[in-house]
Amino acid sequence: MGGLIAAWIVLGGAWEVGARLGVLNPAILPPPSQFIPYLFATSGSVGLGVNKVSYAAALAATVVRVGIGFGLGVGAGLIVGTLLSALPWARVIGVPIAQILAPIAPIAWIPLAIVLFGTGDGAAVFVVFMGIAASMTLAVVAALGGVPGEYVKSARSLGSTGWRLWLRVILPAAAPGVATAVRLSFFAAWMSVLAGEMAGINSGLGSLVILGQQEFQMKLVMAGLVTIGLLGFGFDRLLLLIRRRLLWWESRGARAVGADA
Amino acid sequence: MPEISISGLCRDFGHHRALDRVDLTIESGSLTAFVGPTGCGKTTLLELIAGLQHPTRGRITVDGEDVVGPRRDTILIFQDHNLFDWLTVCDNVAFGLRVRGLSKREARRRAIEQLERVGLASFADRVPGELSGGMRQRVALARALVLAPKVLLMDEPLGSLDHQTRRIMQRYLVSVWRQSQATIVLVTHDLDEALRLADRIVLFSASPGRPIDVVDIPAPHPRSLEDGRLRQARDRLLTHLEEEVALTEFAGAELAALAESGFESSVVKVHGGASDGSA
Repeated sequence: MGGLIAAWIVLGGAWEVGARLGVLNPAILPPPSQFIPYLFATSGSVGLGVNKVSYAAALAATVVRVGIGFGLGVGAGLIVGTLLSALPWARVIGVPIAQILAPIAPIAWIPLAIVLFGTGDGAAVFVVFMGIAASMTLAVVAALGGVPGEYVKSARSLGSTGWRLWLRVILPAAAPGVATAVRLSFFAAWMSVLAGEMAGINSGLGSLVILGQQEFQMKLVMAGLVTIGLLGFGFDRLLLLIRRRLLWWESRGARAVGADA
Repeated sequence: MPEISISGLCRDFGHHRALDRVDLTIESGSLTAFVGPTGCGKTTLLELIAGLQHPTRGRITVDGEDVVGPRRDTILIFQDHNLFDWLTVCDNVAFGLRVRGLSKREARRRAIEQLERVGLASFADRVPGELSGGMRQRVALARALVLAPKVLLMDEPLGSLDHQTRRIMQRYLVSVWRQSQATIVLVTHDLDEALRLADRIVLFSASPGRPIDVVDIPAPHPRSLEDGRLRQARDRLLTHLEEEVALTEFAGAELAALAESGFESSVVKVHGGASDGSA
């Protein structure tokens, strides 16, 4: 954690010093000492009339959208992936369908999303969902398929069968692989929502940054960028924390993983 | 009375025949070792006895009953991935008891008792990732023994241990066998291990697997490989095993070359390669 704080200080410090020395053009790259007070002074509002957007409202909109889309996408991936693993006949057609959908870049869903849901929350949630659900499904199928056969055979030999075998053995055995996929999905979800907001969905952090650019309000652009970075980082840390809580056994012993922090 | 009886057993995987016409009886309370080259179907046979696979033809009975699925009195132990990483040692040992319907509290109490008997009680709250390879296998044994099985099937249980640990664990297995009075079937590719432990060794031919030699080892425990009876059995089995290994490892032309260079001189090398390789 110390290294992370130091990294932020070094990055922010270099930015400040660069701006003061004139190496970085403060008109284009306003340093933290300019855009942070600007945020407090104007509450980050930009635009006029119906197009007026505030920083706080944009932030809230984006967080809610990514939260819902990510939750739904991960949930669908877990359920569908588990079902496809449990039912061989469903896997024959289900996995190829997911393989067709997974490589479609989240941003490519935007036009369809806007036609279906308009330019608001619904479209953003749809883009996030489509951006992660298929790849999450494939990751769950792969994690479940990668469970060593010995675990299942040991459990069956000890008498475990049916849904208990799934709940007590197969799912926990696949959990580390699933947790990694969840974390990667968040990055995809975060990029999806911002891309959506920059390309048509006219609210949220992504939209705020675009508006700032259009009105050459670079302090707002920089504030938006830093917010996006900090929030994304914060959510990733949160997911890591949840993983350590749920997969508590990983951090113990010689075979401990989680060194991927 | 035979504990395990196998008759006319065949097992196919698609067009590949893994086991061919196996007839074998295993006495109650005996310790039998299955020895053979890699891919001879000995692991498949073990899983068939455990009820985890079904024979293509023929039948297997345990304790006089046909094996149609996993049995309560038969437990299988593997080389790796026995213990569930997400459960403590105590909960691992309690796993089979929980499956059998015991309350969490009662299952844990019995698990701790079993761990006390094998001297692992102080590790009850650890997770498998914190244990050494030898300890993990002892916990896996405790998890089986707490269920008082009549038949204990072990697939290379000591295969991933270092040489010293392996020797200690071999003695440990003999003591477990004596105390539990279970019928043990052990798969190993290490002939010396089989000689140290088993009172009967079944040698399997290369694919398709079939028992080609059964040798009784009447020597008492603890054993020394220098024992005359063991040396005699060893010589007999080694010749057989080498032939089978050579047949699986080398093609015709290479076999001819081996014979030309004097099969005798390559004997040790071939055998060494077989016992170091993985199953």
